[in-house]
Amino acid sequence: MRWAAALVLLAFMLMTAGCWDLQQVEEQAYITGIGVDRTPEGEFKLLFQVVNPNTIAGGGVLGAITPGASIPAKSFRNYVTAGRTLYEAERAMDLLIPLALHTGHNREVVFSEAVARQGLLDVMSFFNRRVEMRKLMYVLVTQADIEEIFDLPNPIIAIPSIRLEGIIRQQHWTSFFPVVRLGDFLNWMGAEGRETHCAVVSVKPTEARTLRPYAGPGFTAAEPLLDVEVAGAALFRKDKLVGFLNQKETRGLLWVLNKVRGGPLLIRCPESDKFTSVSILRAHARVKPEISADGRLRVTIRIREEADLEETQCKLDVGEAGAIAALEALQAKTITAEVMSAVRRAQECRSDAFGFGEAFHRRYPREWRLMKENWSEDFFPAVEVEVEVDAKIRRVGLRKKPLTLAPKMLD
Amino acid sequence: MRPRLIKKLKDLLVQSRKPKWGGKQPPLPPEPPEGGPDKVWEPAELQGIPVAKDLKTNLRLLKQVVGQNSDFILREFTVGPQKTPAALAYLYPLVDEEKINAFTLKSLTVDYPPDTPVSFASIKQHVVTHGTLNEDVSDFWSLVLAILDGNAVLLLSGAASALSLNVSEFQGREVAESLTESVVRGPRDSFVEGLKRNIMLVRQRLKTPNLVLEKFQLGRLTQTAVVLGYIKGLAAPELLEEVRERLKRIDADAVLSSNFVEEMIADSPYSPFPQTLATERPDRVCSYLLEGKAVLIIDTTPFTLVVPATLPMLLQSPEDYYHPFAISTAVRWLRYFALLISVTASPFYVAITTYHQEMLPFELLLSIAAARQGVPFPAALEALLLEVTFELLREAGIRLPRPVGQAVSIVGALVIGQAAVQAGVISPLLVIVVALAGIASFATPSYELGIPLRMIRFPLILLAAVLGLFGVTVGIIAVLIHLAGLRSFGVPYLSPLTPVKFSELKDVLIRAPLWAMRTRPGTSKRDWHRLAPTSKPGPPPEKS
Repeated sequence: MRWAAALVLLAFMLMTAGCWDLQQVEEQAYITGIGVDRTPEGEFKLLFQVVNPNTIAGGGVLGAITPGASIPAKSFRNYVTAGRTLYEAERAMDLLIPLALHTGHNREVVFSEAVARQGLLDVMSFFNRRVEMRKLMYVLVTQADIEEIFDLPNPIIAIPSIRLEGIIRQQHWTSFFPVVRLGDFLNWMGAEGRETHCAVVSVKPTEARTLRPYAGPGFTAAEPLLDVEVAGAALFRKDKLVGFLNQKETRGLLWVLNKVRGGPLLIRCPESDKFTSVSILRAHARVKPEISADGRLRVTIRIREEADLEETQCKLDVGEAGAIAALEALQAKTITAEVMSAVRRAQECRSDAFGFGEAFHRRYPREWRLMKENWSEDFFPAVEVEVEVDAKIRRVGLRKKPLTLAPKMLD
Repeated sequence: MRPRLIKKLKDLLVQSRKPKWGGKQPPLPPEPPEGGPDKVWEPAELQGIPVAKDLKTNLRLLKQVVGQNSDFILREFTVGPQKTPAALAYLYPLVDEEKINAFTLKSLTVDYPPDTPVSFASIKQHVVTHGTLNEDVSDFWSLVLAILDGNAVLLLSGAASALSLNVSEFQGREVAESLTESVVRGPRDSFVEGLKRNIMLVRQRLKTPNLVLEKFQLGRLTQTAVVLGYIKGLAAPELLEEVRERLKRIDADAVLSSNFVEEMIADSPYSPFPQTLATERPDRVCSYLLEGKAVLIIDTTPFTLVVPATLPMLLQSPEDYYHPFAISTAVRWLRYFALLISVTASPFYVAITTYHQEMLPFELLLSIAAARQGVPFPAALEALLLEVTFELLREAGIRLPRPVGQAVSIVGALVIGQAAVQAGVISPLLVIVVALAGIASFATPSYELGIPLRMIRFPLILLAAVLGLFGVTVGIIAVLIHLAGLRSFGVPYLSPLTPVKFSELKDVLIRAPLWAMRTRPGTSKRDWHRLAPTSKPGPPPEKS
């Protein structure tokens, strides 16, 4: 009897929670991409990309009632609202969407150049505070229109935000842009002796043209005119965007940050206008800061790199003594050039994305105290950088001799 | 004042010590009982009446007690040259009349050897030619019981006792293949309803004089024979003492099936988990006997109980020992995994789809969301409905006559699998989840364990619906606490997992090779090593 009473009371206790936070799967709008821009009036413009599950999942065929199924349903919807805070803008969206907004699965957030130049500190509060906002989402900056970024059609992966995520996941094929997640971005934004950076996404006119558009009954299958491209990096000072790196310069930055996981290296053949391509296998860099006796700041970057030979147009016979060594030397030169160009550009922008300041802080904590106030503005641009590269070719593929037109050589 | 108070207290004490029930009732005076056919005979009353020297008195009383039965036969005749009156009493459906005619009646009357005095001693020695002779019975209760047990009782004028002759013939089911515990590669025989045949099946496998079978008669009206079996030297004497104690405590009208004993000897009577292991496989019974466990073979049921039982034991299948150890280990893990799925699949589905959408891979989340478009019920209600339907189908499948059972499964598959999904009442993914959990629950070797595990799902689904994964965790922990607190005849239910006994994990986490299972579980008493240390097979060592 006492047990029964206890059980009943326990059951009541369960009820008092009242299914807190209960939310059915199908009653939520899953947001996969967020864009932030400014309106001409100076308010924030917020874009949420909401996925339409009915058009995507294979399971949507059975059991689902799709009203007006004959209308070709779009697989996503972009909702855009404005507000003086992002939260205000988000709640304004609730007037348009019949479902609860679910940001737990957001893939990336794209800031327009205008917002980024003005400073991201104000908007980051929104992303940093909310539990559901994963620190794993990618941070990107664009010079294009965010609405365009999130609405470019493509038959391969229909939802632009998911496509963008796919491109970012393929970064190891090029290393032409940094993969920066929200957590990294926020950490670096507040770091001492390091400035934050992120990838750049842009809109690129497609090269492939629809020469003869197919005009069948009821539809045309034309090539999309624009593509989304992720390449290059945006440099920040504190929370403000101050400049951009191009693809090669970005990789120069990534060498130093130990973030190069692969990619093509283009090497000019000696004494000809032709090229050789190697693919990066792995790389490791060490940054050694030094303050010389006369007070000059100097950083030595030692990079150990390994690569595979992929393609060559040169008369290169890897079986010959010294051929590989020569190629390795050229490779090292290319890497050095990439790093140096990145350093020059960053120094121009006065944005220490490399974290040289942190290196000095670690090695010279006492001297750092004098430098830290004006590190990016005054000291970082004056840092002398030296790059030492130890490059190796590991594999040359199935061929030793260069491909020639002699019949025997075409085996 | 004070002495009176003390006396009062003493009286109270004496009164409270008087047994209310189950104590020995005071013997009745041996007055010649008279009663019509409506008299209800109590055992105690019959126990108090000795078999009289006068045959007529005996027969009159016997007729009063069992005489109104149509199957009761009382055959009166005379024995030997002195023409001593005698009578043979039996119930004809229970006895082999051939035996009575050939070995008893004929030798007592026609073939009675001359120069032999008429007494039970000489009849036993010279006349009756049965293999088995029972004890002489001297009181009426034993006499009636002997008749009801299928014996023929010989009453002789001038003897103050009766001779019970074992002429019983039990017509039972033949030994057949096990229905509830089928194996691919093991022996196929299983227990039947007859005690004698079941004992035979065990004795065939264990030819040791140390296998002891003690008999108990349980049930005031059924007088069911319950045989406690164990191997002397392996079973712990404390365990046996405890089993005997609990068996003697049973004072019930009837013991109709093994569960009548099981429920009466359980340590935790309210727990839904089986605390004895019921099996109908003699090979399994023998393997547990060899581990020092005690078994209860019960007449009129094919299910034998093994005590003490632990959860790992209930998850073992006899099949495990009939296949190579690596395969058995893998299959055993699969079974543990199935156990996990059968309990947690639908609660997890409910919790994750209603509270923790961010835990799902995005593509899966989308397909769930798409599948649930237009489903009118919340996930929890949907899951409960489907689980209830599944249990309904299972129950109906068992209850219905076998030819109809087929129809139930077809209708169930059509109604649930196809129509409900197409009608948009239930999402297809949940059908997969519930079906998976259902299939997994049938992978549990013990049916008795499978049912409580399936029933646990319902409160877990409710907890998942109210508190999400937190609720599921709380529920599972509550079940674990209960399991960890259970004991079967003093042995912790989760042993050897907790309290952990490393040497016994060889038959729980894995199924060690047979040549490596050198020690018995700690519950057994002596004879710790069960095989020689050199048992590991291999090629002979090279000769140098």
